[in-house]
Amino acid sequence: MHRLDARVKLVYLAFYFAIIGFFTNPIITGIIYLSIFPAAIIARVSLKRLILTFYTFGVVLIVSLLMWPSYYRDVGVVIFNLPIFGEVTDYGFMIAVNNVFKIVTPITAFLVYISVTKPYDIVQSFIKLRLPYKVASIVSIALRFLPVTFTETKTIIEAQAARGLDLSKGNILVRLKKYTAIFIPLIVRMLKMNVELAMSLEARCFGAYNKRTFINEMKMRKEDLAFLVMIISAFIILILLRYLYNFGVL
Amino acid sequence: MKGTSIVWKILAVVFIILAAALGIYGAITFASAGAFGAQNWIFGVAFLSLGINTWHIIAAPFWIVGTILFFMEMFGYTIKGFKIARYKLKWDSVDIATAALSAAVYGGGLAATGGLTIIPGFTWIRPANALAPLFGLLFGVPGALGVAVGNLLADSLAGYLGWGSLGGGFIGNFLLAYIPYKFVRDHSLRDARSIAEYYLFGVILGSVWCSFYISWFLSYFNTLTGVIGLPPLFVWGIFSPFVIINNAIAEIFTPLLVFPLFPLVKNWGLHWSDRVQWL
Repeated sequence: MHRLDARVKLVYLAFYFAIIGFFTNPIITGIIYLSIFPAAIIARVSLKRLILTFYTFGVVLIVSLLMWPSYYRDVGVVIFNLPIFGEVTDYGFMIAVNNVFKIVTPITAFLVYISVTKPYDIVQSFIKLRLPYKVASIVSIALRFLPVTFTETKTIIEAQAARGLDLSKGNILVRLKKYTAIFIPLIVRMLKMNVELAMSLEARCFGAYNKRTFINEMKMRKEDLAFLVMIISAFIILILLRYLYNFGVL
Repeated sequence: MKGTSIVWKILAVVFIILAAALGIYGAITFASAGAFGAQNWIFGVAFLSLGINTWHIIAAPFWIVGTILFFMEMFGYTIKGFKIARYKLKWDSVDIATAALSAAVYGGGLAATGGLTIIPGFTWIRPANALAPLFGLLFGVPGALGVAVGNLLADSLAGYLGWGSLGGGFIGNFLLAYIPYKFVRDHSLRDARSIAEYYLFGVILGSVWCSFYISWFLSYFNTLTGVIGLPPLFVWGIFSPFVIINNAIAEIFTPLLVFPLFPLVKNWGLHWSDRVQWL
């Protein structure tokens, strides 16, 4: 997964974003969801990140089970009763579970994508897909500075806490107002970084040419093409099954 | 002149109270309803009383106009005095650095200060939302674009990037920064009129527009394609009013940030008015 061309990984991500919408049977959407995990295991996605997806799954499952069945009270057989929310039919339950997979599949697929793709490759793949390189540069620089600003924010929070600022005390308004003591130094720091970054971009002749070049140009290999063909074939087969044989429809 | 000033001062106070009431009352009632009583939340009940289809009709213009405005700005066109005007933004190293750092600070700020997840993949309590109008007011379109990218990065960092982030959250957050930039006349917020405009347009209209933009996408796009998976009852009964309140409550404090930071930004030549050329 790590060595695949970033454009192929983008197609892999697009596949999960698109395919999940075509089916209403939770068994099929569940299989599609589970099909992400072999890739996640091969790619050695961190356990912490995977646990995060299970947490997301749990919260979405609760929300979905509470709300979707109310649309389908007249369809199917009542299987249980929820206090306040009322009767849940088998059909409503299946739709609720199906919709959970619809929500968590793109989220999990994106986790795999971001875990196995370097920011440099993401940007290069965007440019190769004809996105203006200045837009891609915004994303690339932001990705580069994101950990910096995250750390800066944490440092400022700690520095202000050392001066007696307690963000955990007070009602929501008081706590929100306290954040101004975090944001003002953060923005001042950002302005300084802004000037330095603009100067260093200028020194590297940023924007002088309309085309951006890369030291390590991406090239499609046989393995990339094979994986790409596999994804596209899977997409076509699933769509054909769906529309010719009503496969995956409740 | 003096009379006009007093009227603006009164209006400023009225709009501050309105915006604060919206945020505070919404937050208190939401918190007291609790997660499992959210379907009885007064805001949600009021929203749902109009019906889902009515909301699809009400929110559609917000989505359509918002999308048009986004693409107009990206291609160098804007609305100026009820007319379409052309302007030139160089998108040179300063603008790119501004947009990228706005994205990094907004994304990093959201991730570092976002505590309580309300709906994974869709929203959580976000004090850093106060930065969105700040970047719009100070940096204009590059700042607003930075906010849009920053939201995507925050979602991906938190592991919540889904359809909502791409189709609704991106331009929705752009609008959160763009509306105060476009509707407030004096971006230093140093007179009563600009304060009144900020609270009316920046806080109330901006929050509502952002919320309707995302909610319409989640609800209507799901009706059309079935890919989103969120129940419309949930989108309009909880998510939409919650986003309005979440945005409004954080943005109440933005003037406290604008006031000290505006002179600094202006002195360093980073304010949007120093970087835009009207054609």
